[in-house]
Amino acid sequence: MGENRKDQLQGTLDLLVLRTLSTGGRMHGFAIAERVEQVSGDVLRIEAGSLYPALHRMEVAGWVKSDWAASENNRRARFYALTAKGRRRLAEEEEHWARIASAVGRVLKHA
Amino acid sequence: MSWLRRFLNRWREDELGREFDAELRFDLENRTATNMRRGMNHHDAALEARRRLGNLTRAREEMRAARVATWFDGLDCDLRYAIRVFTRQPTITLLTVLMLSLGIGANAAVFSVFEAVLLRRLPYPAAERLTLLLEPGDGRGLTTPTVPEVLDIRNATRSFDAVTFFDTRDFQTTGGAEPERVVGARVETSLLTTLGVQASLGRMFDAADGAGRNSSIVVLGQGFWRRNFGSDPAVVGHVLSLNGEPYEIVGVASEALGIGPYLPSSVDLYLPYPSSPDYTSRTGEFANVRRVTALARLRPGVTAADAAAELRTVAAGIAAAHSDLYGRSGLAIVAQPLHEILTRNSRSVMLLLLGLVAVMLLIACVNTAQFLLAQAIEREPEIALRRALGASRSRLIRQCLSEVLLLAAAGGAAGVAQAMWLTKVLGALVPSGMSLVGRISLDGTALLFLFSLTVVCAVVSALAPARLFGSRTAERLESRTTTPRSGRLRHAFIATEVAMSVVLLTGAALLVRSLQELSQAQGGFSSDRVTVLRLRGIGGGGSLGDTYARYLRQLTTITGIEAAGLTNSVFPGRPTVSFTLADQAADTATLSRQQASYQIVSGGYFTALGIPLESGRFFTDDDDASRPRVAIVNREMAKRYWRGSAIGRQLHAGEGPRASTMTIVGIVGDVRPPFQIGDVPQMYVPYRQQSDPNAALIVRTGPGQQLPLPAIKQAIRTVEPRQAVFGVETVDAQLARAVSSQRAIATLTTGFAALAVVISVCGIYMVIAYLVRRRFKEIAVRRAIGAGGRDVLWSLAAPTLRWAALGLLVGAAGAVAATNALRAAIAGIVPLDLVLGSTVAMTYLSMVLLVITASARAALRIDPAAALRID
Repeated sequence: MGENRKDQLQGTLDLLVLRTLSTGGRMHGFAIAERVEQVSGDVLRIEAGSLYPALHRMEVAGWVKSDWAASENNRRARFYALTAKGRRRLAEEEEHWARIASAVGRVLKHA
Repeated sequence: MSWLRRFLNRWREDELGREFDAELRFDLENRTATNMRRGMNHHDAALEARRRLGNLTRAREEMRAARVATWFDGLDCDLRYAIRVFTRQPTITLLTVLMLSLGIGANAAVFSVFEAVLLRRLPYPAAERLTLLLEPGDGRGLTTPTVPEVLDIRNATRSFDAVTFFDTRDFQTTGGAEPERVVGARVETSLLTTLGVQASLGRMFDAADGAGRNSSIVVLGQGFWRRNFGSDPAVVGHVLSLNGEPYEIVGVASEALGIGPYLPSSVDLYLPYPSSPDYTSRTGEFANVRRVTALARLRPGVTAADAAAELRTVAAGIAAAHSDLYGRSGLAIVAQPLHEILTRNSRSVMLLLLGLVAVMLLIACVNTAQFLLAQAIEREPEIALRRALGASRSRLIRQCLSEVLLLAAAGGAAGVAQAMWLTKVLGALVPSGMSLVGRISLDGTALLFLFSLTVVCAVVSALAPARLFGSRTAERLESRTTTPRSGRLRHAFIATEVAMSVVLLTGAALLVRSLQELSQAQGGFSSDRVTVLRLRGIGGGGSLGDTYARYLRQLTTITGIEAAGLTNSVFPGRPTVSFTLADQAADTATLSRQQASYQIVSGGYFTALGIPLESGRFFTDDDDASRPRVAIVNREMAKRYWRGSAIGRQLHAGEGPRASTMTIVGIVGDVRPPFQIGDVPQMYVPYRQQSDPNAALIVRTGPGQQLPLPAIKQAIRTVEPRQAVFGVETVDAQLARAVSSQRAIATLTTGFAALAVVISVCGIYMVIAYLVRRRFKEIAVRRAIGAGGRDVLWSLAAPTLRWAALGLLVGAAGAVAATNALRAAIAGIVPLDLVLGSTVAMTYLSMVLLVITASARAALRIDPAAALRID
């Protein structure tokens, strides 16, 4: 049971990150977290301790690629960008999320 | 390939760590800066940033887990731990490793021989398409075609892109210190292009040589070149005298030339096959002799069935065109794959040996499993504790696997040395010409095999204990009073080992018995102080007998020789020559029923070999071509066909020029050469009436006398200076050589079987000792409340005995099957009889009993009070 729940949260984090990268283009981890926080109106706060392992996992899976470059304040930072594989994955995750959301919505409404 | 990247990242962990740090620091600093921009003071901003980051160590670990393969983490710990576990029981550990190494080493060695003998390809282009042309005669097995037939096939068929032939024959070289007999191969020149063989020096033959333009040329074999010319590179152009004729040396052949026993790579010389009509036309003098080996290469894409069909048509055509030669029986020619022919004889023996060592290895694996199982059960509380503390199943199975791998690796490493040694031994036992290509050695393929074998061993041995390591043992944490739960599995192991050992032991016993039988069977002659000297007569026809007679007369002048005789084979062969009695018609039924061995001898042959004269007389020098034809038969033949009174009777025997009607002048004792069980009809004819250029002098020296070899050679050369004498060997040595492959197989099998028995008995001991140890407390309680020693002993031994008996039954069934396989594979194996079978079973069972009682008795010596205080 516990494993399953963790997977679900993981999936949500992946979805948020992939989605953010798909619109934001090339971003470093901090920017991704900030963006999610901003767009969600400070409701979703991503813990950096979860974000970075997730980014590395996604890179190993081939969904994102990274390189080191100078940041806006001229510091060395690791930038992440979506790959074609990641784009496909995002589509799957979005569809999955929509199905879950609508299913949960139906239950809340009718059960 | 991300797993590979993850695996390789293990070697750049430092760099990765710095990257993680840099990335996290960047986040931290940015967060702090942002917080300060939102109005926090520096301290609060940094604190909040830290909080947002969460557990830094855990983050780093998770990042690492994403990047780096963690499966091997702690492997060194596992191995160190395994070593600690094993060194606690050094004897059993050492024993297990030793058993594994024996199994692995034997398997690798047998495999390397197997590979060299059976699997390797002949080193010729398109070797898989090479076939031998053979003629299935009427009931006589396969014979080889004649040269005119081969030439007809070459011209008339389209299935083959090459048809060629060769033969081997003796030559005598002169010009050296003394005449030497050498083996020369006469090759049809296209053989060399078909096999793609180049000369290593000078040139080989070409089509012009084949056309007979240049027939007095010779190419030396590597061995002959080395021995007689000291590998002199300037040898080309020299002249070699063969049978008194000068031949020009044009080259030295490459070492790679050889086709199993048909064209041994030890051939001394190569000559172009004569292309004169004497050999190639059906009316030629030598053309109808069946002694060439015909090699044909299938055209690419032509199937064996296509070729067979075409050969049928062509053979029928040849038979029709020469009906005077082939008559009603016609002509049939088949093309058999060369590789299959070359490996046919050794395949079954090699498979047998391979099966044998495989079973041995299996027993060793079962023992290893036993050992590990005992370890695992002993460590149940420890495993339970580790699981309770959060160790995953896979983690514990890995622990188990690393322990097994450690054992197997040690066994494999020790096995390499044994395999190297054993390969050498086995290689020496394999008759030369049996291996397809060159020397037999432990090569890369065999080492690879050895390595995979080690892994397989480890996996097989780990199956049972790994289950235990991975099982849910948590509930057993509190109950240390474990019952002999896995007793059934362990007993099944015992049964398996017993069964396999019995099969091996029976096989070994059969081989040894058969060998005894073979060496006891031979008799009817005396081999004491008897030596064989081979020679190949010079000149042909009638003069040959005269020459031999003069040799024999010369030998009588030498002191130290008690008796000397001449024969065309040392012992009578198998009864294959048909004969008819005086008034019998030569119909097929009679001819196929009445067969005897046929040997051309001088009178001295019988005295030299101590074959007794029962009645009549031996041959004398007066039994020559000018006198009536005579024969001597053995007692068996006289008994079968003339009720013992054969003297003066007539019989007709021999083929072609040898066919003649003979009067029987003597009856001699039965001779049983090696491999002949029982007595068969044997017929002897005098050497001055029938001749054979292949001859052997049988010389019996006087008591305590050395063979006067130089004097013998000298005496012979006073008659014929070109005569070479070779193959000097005592009859005893020859007899030993005849059974040498049987002896080798018997020795190996016995060795392997003995090892297997030792290994299995060790395994059984390990199990019993372990089971007894586990039941210490139970035994103590039973003893304390008054159980007798005999009862306790029985309760301990009974289940094991039952399982051992079951294994014995299964083994007996296996032994029967193995015997059949053995008898099919090797000639002269005696059938399995009840006495032998039960002796084997009883021997083994008594060993098992001994081991069981020995270990169970140890349990009786327990002091109940002390045992109950344990824990």
